[in-house]
Amino acid sequence: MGLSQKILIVDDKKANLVALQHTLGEVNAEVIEAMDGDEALRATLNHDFALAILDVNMPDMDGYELAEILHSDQRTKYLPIIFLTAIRMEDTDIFKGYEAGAVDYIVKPYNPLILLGKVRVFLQIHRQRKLLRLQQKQLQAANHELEAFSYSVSHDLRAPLRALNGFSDLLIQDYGEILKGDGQTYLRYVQESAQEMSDLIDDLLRLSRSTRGAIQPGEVNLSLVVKKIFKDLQQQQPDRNVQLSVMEDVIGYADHGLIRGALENLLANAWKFTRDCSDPCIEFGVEKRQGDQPIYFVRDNGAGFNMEYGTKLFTPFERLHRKDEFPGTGIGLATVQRIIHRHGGEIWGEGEPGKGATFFFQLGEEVRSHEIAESFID
Amino acid sequence: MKLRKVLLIEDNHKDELLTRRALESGLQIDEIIVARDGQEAVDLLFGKGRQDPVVPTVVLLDLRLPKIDGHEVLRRIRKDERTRLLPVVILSSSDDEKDIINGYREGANSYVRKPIVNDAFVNAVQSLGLFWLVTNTPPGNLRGSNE
Repeated sequence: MGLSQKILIVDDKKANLVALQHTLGEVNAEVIEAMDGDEALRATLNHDFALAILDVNMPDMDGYELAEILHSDQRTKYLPIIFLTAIRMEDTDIFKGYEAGAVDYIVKPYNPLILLGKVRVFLQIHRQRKLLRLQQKQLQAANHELEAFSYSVSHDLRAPLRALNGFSDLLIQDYGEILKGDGQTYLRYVQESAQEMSDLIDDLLRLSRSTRGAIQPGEVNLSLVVKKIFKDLQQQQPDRNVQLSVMEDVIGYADHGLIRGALENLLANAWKFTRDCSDPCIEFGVEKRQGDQPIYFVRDNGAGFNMEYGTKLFTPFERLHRKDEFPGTGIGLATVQRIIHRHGGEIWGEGEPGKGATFFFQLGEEVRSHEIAESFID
Repeated sequence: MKLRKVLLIEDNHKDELLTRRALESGLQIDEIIVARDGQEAVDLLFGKGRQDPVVPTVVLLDLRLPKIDGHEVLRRIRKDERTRLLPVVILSSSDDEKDIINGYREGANSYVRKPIVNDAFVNAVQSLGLFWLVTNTPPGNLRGSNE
């Protein structure tokens, strides 16, 4: 019952309406009749129509005038219309001005099968649009909830950790002398654990933020972004000597903030896992294969990983290295993957233990279709 | 000598203690007034009943507060002629971009995310205190009323 559809039929002759009703008996939809434009407009106030079938020749308000009004009203802007007309319309420019919605026509006397074919197509579109709108609403509700949740996490979950860390510190400062044995060490463990949990919370927040908010894609010079990130890494750890090799002016179509976040993670990983390397080197570039989306890559010659565990790479909290070897929360690559997926792209990694890792990613065309989707669902 | 008066708007008792200790260990401060929710802060700043309004040198403002939240407290401070120019520093757990942007939009003088590690927290609070209580020159009406 939830998806019961309604068709509006408008004709000034009762006999035509009866015939149309009869034909439409073949489809599973409720048919509402109107004898003139005014009655039709009133009907649109009370019903959500999937389709309107309008006779063109009517006294007072003809089918075109009625269509004009329907298309100018927000409620019925997207209502598809089939005109029933005595003349062929192909050569006329009657369709101009109806860009907002689907318009079709049938020449009288019509073949019921052709009419039914068209009606079914429009009913199908209407069903899909309704479903899409419903899903969009659910998605918005879920997003809203997620946002409220992460807001609460960022405010409330960190405060107790600060107390744990802070008061452990005060204990050591004020009462350190009377703490015997491993007392001070245990307090340090409390502090370290609080810090670890705080890092986890921050990374989880980053992960959840990577999937929320609207994507604003544009052309981004990825090479410049990579160089900037690398500079920041050097400033954080000036004692490390890592070579960077960047292909110049690699352009990607992406959301600037999100793609920077993804590259930050990839480069920070490359930086981290080349720690024990005698001649550490990070490379960024693009491979172009004909007819395909460009493949961007970040390569390092560091610790690498065993391809056997490759599927775990992008799962949150999964780690391929022990924490005492390389620190980290195991959330970084999950965040990168979400960002790439939001761009309609793919990411995959190749590696070999001791020889380094390469992460490849593509950015899909899909980001461009965002605007279309928005104007369609409205 | 101008009086160094801090209004700390903070509902978390433990954060209050840590902040207080950090401020007092690094600086000579005449008074730390604490408001434990947004309503109390507003009442202190604008004077409730026959009470005179408190005129602090700087306000340290938490965002997540009972009754009236920090953003709203800040908006009210900026709307009132008496407190329009008062230095307000947001001191919050959140690094949510929305909180930061809205904070500045509402007229915060700076935004500091409370660090988890105590050394970093103490450093942040002490340098805040040093800057706003000693280095900075507040506008005349706030300066004069405290002499």
